[in-house]
Amino acid sequence: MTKEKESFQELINDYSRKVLNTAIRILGNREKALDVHQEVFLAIWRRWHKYDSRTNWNAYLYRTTVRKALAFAKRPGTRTLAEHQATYPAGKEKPDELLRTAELQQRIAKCLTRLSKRQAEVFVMSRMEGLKTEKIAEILGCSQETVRVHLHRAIKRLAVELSDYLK
Amino acid sequence: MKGHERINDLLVDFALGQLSGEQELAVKAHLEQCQQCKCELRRLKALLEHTEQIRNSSASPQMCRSAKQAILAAVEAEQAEPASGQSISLEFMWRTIVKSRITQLAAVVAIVLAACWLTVSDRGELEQQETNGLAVAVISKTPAELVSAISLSMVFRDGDMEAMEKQFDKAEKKVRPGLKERITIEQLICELEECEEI
Repeated sequence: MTKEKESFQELINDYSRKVLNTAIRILGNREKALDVHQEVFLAIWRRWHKYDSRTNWNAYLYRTTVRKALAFAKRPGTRTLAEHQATYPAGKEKPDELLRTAELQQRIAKCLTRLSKRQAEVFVMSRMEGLKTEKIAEILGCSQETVRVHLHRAIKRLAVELSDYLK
Repeated sequence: MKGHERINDLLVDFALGQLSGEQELAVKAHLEQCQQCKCELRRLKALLEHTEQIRNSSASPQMCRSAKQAILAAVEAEQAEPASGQSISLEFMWRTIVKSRITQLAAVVAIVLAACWLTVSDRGELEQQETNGLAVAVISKTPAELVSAISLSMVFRDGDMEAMEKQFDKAEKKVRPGLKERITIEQLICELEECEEI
């Protein structure tokens, strides 16, 4: 195995799970999450020579994954109940509740694509990933106050756009 | 109304539990009398609860394994591809170069240059050819005619554009006395490139 491939494999070992989790949380679909994972890492491999030891992989992969997953969310296609059950096997909800939750998640993903990229990134990292404001500011390279403003706007807008589902 | 807007702005932070004690009390007092803010808070809380639920979903170890295997297989496949991909692209490049009109132009220039150095020694005869070349360039319609005419004209002045343009004017008057619009060599070359695109 070449040295390049070895270090790439190390990167996969370190971040594969993170990328998959973020994609699943945004898309609520394991198949699509696998596609996002594949596209993100393949894109990195194709530009492997451009990266060096200074690359902040955590920040880079978070942002790339969020953007890629949102690009997937823009594509048409609805999620079935079976797909949702496969994603959340441990849930105790009734089928109709599950379907409603599945629809809501799909709607959230679609609405996220209509927010500004920064707002969507902040919302995903804060609400879906549970990252602290300080960490998000570090990943995005902005101030904590900026993160708070983006999060505030994103939540407000999502609540308005999803008002039919959030009664 | 001003108080309502101020409190309404605090609702997100209230739902997130990020308000100070004093602000929290003010929001609670307002909520008791404002149905609109109450509804909005309910929506905000439902959204936040749902996204917290989403946080619990994660990839299983088996899914991680298959994802890693898939990406490594894809990388292997990409590494295997360049050999055939490279030969295809080289072949494609060669075909493109051979078919390119720029290449044809360069070839004509090279041939004419060689022919001139070998056969033409008389300067007067050379100048006559140059003028003729420019004249043909002005009236030529097909790319092939343009190529030979321009190449003839370009060769004889060794890149002396000013002198060449003077000759060009002369040729223009000779071939098209009524032509008012001045055609430059650059325009002709652009025309040639446009022909190539077509």
